[in-house]
Amino acid sequence: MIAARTWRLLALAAPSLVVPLVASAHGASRVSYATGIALSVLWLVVAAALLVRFVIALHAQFRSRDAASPWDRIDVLTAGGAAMMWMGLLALVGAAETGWASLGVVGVLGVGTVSIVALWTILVAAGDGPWHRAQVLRAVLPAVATEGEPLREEITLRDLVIPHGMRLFVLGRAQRHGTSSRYVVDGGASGEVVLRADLGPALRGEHPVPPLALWFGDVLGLTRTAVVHRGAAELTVMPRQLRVEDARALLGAGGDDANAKPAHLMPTEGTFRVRAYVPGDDARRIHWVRSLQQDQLIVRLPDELPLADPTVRLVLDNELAGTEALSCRAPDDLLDVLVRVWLGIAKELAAQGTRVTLVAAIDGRVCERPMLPRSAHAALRFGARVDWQTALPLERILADRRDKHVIVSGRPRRISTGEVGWVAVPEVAWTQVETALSIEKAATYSFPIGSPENRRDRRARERDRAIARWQDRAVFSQVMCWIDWSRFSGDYVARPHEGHAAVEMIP
Amino acid sequence: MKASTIKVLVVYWALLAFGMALYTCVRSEALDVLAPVWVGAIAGTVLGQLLALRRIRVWVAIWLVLAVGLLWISQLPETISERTVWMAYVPAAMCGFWCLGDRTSLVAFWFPAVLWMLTILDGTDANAMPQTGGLVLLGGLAVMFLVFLRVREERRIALWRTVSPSPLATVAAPVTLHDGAGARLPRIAWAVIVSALGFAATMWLAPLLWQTEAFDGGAVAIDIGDPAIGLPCCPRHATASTTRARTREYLDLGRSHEHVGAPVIETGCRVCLAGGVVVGANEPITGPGPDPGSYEPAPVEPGPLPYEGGSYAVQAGAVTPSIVTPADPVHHAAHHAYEPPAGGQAAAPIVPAPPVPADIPHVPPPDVQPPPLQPQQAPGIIVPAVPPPPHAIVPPHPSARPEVAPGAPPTLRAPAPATSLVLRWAAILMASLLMIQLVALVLRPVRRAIALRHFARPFWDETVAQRVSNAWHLVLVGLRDAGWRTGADESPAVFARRVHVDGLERCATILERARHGIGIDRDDLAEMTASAEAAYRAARAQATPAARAVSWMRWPLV
Repeated sequence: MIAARTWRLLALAAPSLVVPLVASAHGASRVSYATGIALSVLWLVVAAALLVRFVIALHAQFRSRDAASPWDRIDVLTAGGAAMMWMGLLALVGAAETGWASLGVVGVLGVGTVSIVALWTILVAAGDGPWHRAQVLRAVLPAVATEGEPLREEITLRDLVIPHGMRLFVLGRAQRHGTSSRYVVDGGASGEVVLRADLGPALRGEHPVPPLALWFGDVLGLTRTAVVHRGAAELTVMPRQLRVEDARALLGAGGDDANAKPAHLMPTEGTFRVRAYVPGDDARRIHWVRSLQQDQLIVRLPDELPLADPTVRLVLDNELAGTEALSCRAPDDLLDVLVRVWLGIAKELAAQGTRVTLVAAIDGRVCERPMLPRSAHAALRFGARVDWQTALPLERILADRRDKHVIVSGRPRRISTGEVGWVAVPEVAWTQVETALSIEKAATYSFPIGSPENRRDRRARERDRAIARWQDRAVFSQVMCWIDWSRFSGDYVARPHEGHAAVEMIP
Repeated sequence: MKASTIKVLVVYWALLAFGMALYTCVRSEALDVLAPVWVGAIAGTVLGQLLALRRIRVWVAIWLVLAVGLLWISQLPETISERTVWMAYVPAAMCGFWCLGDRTSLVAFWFPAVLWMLTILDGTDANAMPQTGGLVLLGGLAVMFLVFLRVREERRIALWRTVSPSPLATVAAPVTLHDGAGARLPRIAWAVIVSALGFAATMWLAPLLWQTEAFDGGAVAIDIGDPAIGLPCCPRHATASTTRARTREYLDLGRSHEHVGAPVIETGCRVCLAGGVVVGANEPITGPGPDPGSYEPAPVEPGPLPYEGGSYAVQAGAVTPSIVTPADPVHHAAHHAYEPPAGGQAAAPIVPAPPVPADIPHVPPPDVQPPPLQPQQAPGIIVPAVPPPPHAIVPPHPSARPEVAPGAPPTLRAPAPATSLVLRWAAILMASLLMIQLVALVLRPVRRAIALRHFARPFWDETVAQRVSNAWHLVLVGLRDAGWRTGADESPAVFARRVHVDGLERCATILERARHGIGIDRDDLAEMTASAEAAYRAARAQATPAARAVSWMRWPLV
């Protein structure tokens, strides 16, 4: 099976060589002479230009590994251009066989046009010349966004000389599961051009935005140049805040400062705090000894249960291996939800007076940050940095801590570290299923005719990709859903409820 | 994407319509022959494009085209040749389908090219060399091919930007904030150069690939082209075999062009002697003579006369021979054209055309003796020579053999001048359009000068706010000359900071005050006007002289 690039390179050279042979084989001496001379000269010029480009690209590759491959440099024909070259060859052969003048005209037009445009592209656009002074400035705005907020991209091209007869094509994707942006700039501009696109909702995380892919293509769609990568950027998307209902249930029997829970003891029992008597106090609570000592009526106050745990370490379980290899969206979606629930619980508890410490493993380290009621922004930034990781197992995050731990996890599991509380975030309840596999109809194309997406190889590739997504999703679901719920009776589960999250006890 | 699709369809239909209209003009007398082709072409193209717009797969489209063809073509009246309709319908449908397809530009272009080639080949001689009109049309076809490729590429780009299995971002149109002045000029030059190269390559190479097919055209009488030959000596006429040739093409509609072979001396003429010598047998005899008709015909020994390319006339004249000059051995008759009859009848025997004397009005009727029954017994009378068979007749392609109506000789006539007439009108139309454009182009500097004058010093009284706006426009024109453009959402102050031109920031400040309703007094207006003119000059100073010159041709100004 010959690769597509080989076909394209052959298309650049073969027809110019084959046509004189075909013509001479049919005894048309004047055809072989005139056409042969013309096409041979054209072929020699194209071959020489290709050779020069190849050598220059080879030299550049020796100097820098980032340089484009020499084969990429000379692979200037598009699929349409290569097809036209081969069709032109067929037309010329057909003209020699049938004698139809129209086939000869069409063949000459096809082969000649592609050869001329290819020569122009090789000479003018295929090198690094147009890119020497070019500045590609890219910004994804807002630079610090909130999850779900619409993002927009702004690309500024400065001092980029687009060769005449060419167009600039720009392709980029700012987020892994985000939208692709495709731009086309007509030739001639050498000053400053601004490209803008709406990228859609922002996805949580600190994204290193990969560079844009830029290349030139001629206005007839027959040739293109090697891809140049410019314009890397960074983007921070903070998690969206999620209100979590009944989060205080996580604290057990305690309450908060405003809602103390009195102990059910007799008035004479327990350890007492005292204060001065005020009218209305129960006379049975008067502490007579102290009253005599202080010469005023002193009453005993009823005992209370301790206040809510003074410190709660709210741990995010982001330990999961192999998520980078999964092509489905579910791992990222689940992590986003985990972070949202994690921060939502923290905010809820902190608002009720609990000292909450956010704990997560980030970049191979255990990172902690106190959740203060009025500094949610810092916590959100903290949440934006969270990603799936395998460097630190959950036990190491919890080690040597006597504080109360509440773990927000998508897959609660038994761990060796003491008693912890769990908040399970079930994957099935929070993530969407993958988009359905598109059904190929037998009689119609999936996309408008003329779209390259209808090509069989692309359809097969897309189908394979969709199947892989579904398989990855199945694997992910298997990993995440393997929970023995009976073992976590008494712990909690976070479920979506009317746009919020509700924490409920596992029965 | 819809707009780009419509563009492709319009260009494709323009190609088809022009090809059909041109050939209809050329063959206006044979509409019955052309009608089946046009019907098939139009119906096929419509069906093919409908199938393409409905995203039908190509193999389904082929079946549908055939099925629909079976349905409607068989319903046509018998006077319309079904075979011809099929021959036009199927390729028209598939090329119409592929004109919107992926990587099928060349295939789709073939059928329109066939229609154009009918006209081009009609003016192409038997040596497969097109006439001037044909060459112009060939060049036009090359240019239209580039136009077709370009609109297809625009559609491909529109598809690339909007169609994908993965979600795509909504992209706004690019905003040019600064561009090199005069950038359009090299772009136009590039388009012209590429078109010219394609034009030249097509005109040079394509005819070399054409193959002719020839047919026996029978014998015709031709003039040997010697006006001073005198009377009534032979040869005045010769008989020559003819072959008819045309360039092969898919549609079997083309007319052939006649090629007259080597002349054979005419029968029944007499040999003239001058002083006992056969005049003009081997060399021309020149010299004054009192009366070209005073010769005496003299019998000579019968026998074959040499014919070596010169005049084979036997010139008589005792003392004063007439002027005899060698003639070209091969004469082409006046441009004849062969018109095949309509219908698909079997080929009939070719009937030789009756001899038609051509272009000898000044020669009086010859005194030609009838040929004797026994040439051996009648010295001085040339034995009628048997015309040699036409040499190098290429057997025609079976499917392309033009058919001759039974019992009727093929019509020989000069080709209609419709091609050149149509081309002439097209050229006049093009020249008119060009002239209008030229006049508009010449008027642009005048418009610009008037507009700039009004911006600086209005021709009539205007409000202060309007005058401030005019002054700002003057600045924008100067900045545009230097390649600067303002963004849609860019405020004047931001624009001024970005551009850095003297006086611009002051102008922007006053403009914003005017826009926000803050009062502008007379001094502000004077300052605005002065600053605007200064900024205009400063901006233009940044542009190159060529850019400044080209800017006078730009419209709109901003």
